[in-house]
Amino acid sequence: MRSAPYVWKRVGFALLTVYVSLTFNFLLFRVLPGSPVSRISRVPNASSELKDALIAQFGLDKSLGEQYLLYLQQTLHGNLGISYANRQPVIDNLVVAFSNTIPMVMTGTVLALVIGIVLGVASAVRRGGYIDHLGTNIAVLFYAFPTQFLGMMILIFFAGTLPSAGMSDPFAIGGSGWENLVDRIRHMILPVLTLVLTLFAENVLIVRSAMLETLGEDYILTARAKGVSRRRLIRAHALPNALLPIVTLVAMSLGTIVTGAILIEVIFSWPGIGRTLYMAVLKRDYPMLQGGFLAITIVVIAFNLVADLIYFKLDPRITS
Amino acid sequence: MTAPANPERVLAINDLNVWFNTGRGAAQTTSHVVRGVTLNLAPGDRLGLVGESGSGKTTTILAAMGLLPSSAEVAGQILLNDRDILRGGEQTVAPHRWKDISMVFQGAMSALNPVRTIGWQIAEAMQIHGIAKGEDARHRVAGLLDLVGIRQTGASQYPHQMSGGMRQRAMIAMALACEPRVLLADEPTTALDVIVQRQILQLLVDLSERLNLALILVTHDLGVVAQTCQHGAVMLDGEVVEQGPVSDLYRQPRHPYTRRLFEAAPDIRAAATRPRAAADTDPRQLKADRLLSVNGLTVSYLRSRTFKDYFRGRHQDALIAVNDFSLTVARGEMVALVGGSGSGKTTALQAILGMVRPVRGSILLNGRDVSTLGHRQWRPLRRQVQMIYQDPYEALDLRFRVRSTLEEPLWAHGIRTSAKEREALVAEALDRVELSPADQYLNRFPHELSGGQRQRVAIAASLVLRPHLLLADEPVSMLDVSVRNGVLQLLDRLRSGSEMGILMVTHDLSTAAAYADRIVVMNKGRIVEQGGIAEVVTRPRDAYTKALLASIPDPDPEAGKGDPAG
Repeated sequence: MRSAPYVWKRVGFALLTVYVSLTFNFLLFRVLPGSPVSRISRVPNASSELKDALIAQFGLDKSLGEQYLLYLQQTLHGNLGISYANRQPVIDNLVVAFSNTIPMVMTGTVLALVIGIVLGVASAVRRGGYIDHLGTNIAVLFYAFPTQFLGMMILIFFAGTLPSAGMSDPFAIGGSGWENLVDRIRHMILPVLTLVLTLFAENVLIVRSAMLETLGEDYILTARAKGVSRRRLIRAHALPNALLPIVTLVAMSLGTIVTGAILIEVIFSWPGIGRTLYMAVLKRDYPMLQGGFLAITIVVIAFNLVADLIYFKLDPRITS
Repeated sequence: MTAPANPERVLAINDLNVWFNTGRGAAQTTSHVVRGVTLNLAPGDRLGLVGESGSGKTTTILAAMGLLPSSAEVAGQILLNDRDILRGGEQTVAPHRWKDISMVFQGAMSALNPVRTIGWQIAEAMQIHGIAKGEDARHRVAGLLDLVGIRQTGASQYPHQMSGGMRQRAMIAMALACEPRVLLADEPTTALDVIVQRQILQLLVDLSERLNLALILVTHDLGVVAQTCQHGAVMLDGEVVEQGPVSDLYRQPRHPYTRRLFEAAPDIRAAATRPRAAADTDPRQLKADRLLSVNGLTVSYLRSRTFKDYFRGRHQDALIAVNDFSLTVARGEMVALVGGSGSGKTTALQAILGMVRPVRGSILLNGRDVSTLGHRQWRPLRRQVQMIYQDPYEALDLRFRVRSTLEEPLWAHGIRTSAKEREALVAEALDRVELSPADQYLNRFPHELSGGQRQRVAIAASLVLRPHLLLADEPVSMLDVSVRNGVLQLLDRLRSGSEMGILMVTHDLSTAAAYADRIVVMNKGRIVEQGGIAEVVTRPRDAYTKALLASIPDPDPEAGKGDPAG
């Protein structure tokens, strides 16, 4: 099988990258000025006994090597520390935040991708036609909007018609499952709309140019000469080739979307990972930040791994 | 296959005219690309359509397939079995496309879809035209691959897993998928080695005889036509200026253009034995004037290490590209390095240029070993060695005017003369490549020059530094036949009577025989033979050289009569 060595190599690289970022995460907070103890013990009448007790409690009296092993061990067991802000384990906070973010971001990304591919292909196939002109110009217009501005405008425009903050109506208690679901979806509309509008433009432009390039290739002429219908020409010949650059791009952007959703989550008060990090920065919640960074790093690496594997599936020319 | 209504004529192109519209509205211009072309083919006929780039030969056959872009306007008739398939537009062409007339495209690498298997692509044609599906189609694909000489496993391979020759065979198999009566081949062998070219041409001839297939072979190579076709048609500026049996075209060409084409096609044996000026120089004196001397050069490319290699502590396997390579170039001498693709000739050239570090061996330039020099030490020496590339379209920066292209090397080497002196140097270089008066060319961009002129500008950009050694990598293979000789003669003149030596890499033995003083033949990274032209061409010692010589298509149709390829 040609796939086995490639897949193992990619997975190996991904794991290696995660390990390096774990280590980096450890070292980064060691080189910051001041220790956690000096920060916590900065209270009136803090005795040196209290300090020593804290140092022992946090294991800071051990050597750096021991601390590192302890850190790795604890992290692998899912212990990322306790949040300063709400005294809950960081890992629990992260799980909640991600489970709130993922449905919203995924819906937005998939919609943006579908719209991007459909509009991009249509623009390329009817190059110079009205779909092309309209599609490209609208895409460029939205591409130029900063997310926060677009979000605010949408908020102002739809405020009153659609819920503009949070994930659910805090006063709707005891509704049926169906009512709750509808409420959730209604809350998701505005943030998803903002996300789609900021993302689809890039997809349209990239799909269009990749498709135009592919349509000019010789094998497209060969397929036409063979008598392949226009629909099949696009689906079976042009799209599989044009998708190659798109896959890489989408995967790269998926990673950044998780962090990029910070602005949207803040605007629409969406209790996701972006807003959690934003609040952690405001409150100097270091354990939360450290855990958040690690989680995001892992998500980005995972998406890149997925992209590599999809690319491998699509392009037979990749062997190692 | 139903019997054609008129057995004497399966395809007729009658008074075909094609116009291309470019631009829009008031700026629209129309160019008349094909002018009144008339061609007739009987089953089993092989017609060679010869012409240079832009002569309209590809447009003619694309029109017969109904594949021209929408900016083209077509008039005239394409008669398939005496029925005009062009009259009803797409409606009447579509049912015949690939089923009755099919086509083999030029570059088999780009003409096959890279993400689909060969078998899939061949079966698709059958499926579309309702000939076969599923298991039946698979069976037929196997039969077709066998017919063109590809192993059964070829069906599940992707195009990149095949060699150039195999890909072209697969392309031919695909063209035959629906049992067409007419096959149009657009420069099917241009990108291939001579030896592979011969095999592919042989296959086409064979198929046309076995399947009674009418074949139009579009090419710029008269030798190819002479050795494979019964008839030839010569195109110039969209018109067929002469057509007839190939022997008539060769023996009594009526049109001056046909004559010129045949004259431009080098006859290797005549060229090899012709007396040459350089032969007058005493070989002993040449030895004393040694400019470049390469000894035992070995270059290898390292395969990147895999994880497994790291774990097992295994070293990288080296792919030896050039093995124990030795040659000399004297001042004023032109040496031709000949070999097929992948023979290592370009790698050898890059090593001499200092772009690839050799594993072993020495490269003496003007008596100084340059093989171990670092980047910094090489820099001042770059003046002495200049390179000309294969494709002048890519070698020139499209945003540079000719003046900037020629001045850049002067800046790069810190030849800080005054503007006036620089101007003089540039004008002199242009004059040496016969682009004069220089004023006419200085402010032009590459797209405002013809192919031959571009290659001359590229040569001038090397000459401006007055190099001692000129390395030329296939300097004419991208140029039209009639322009080739001009550029080669220029190179010939540049080195004779000057201190400059030229090392020319080429896959074309005839070019080498016509202009070089000595030939060095490479195969699989090794030099298999070297010597004077007459010696190598008339008394080849190595089997590879012999095969190479036998594969060159002779423009004389009678020349290969005893030989099945002809």
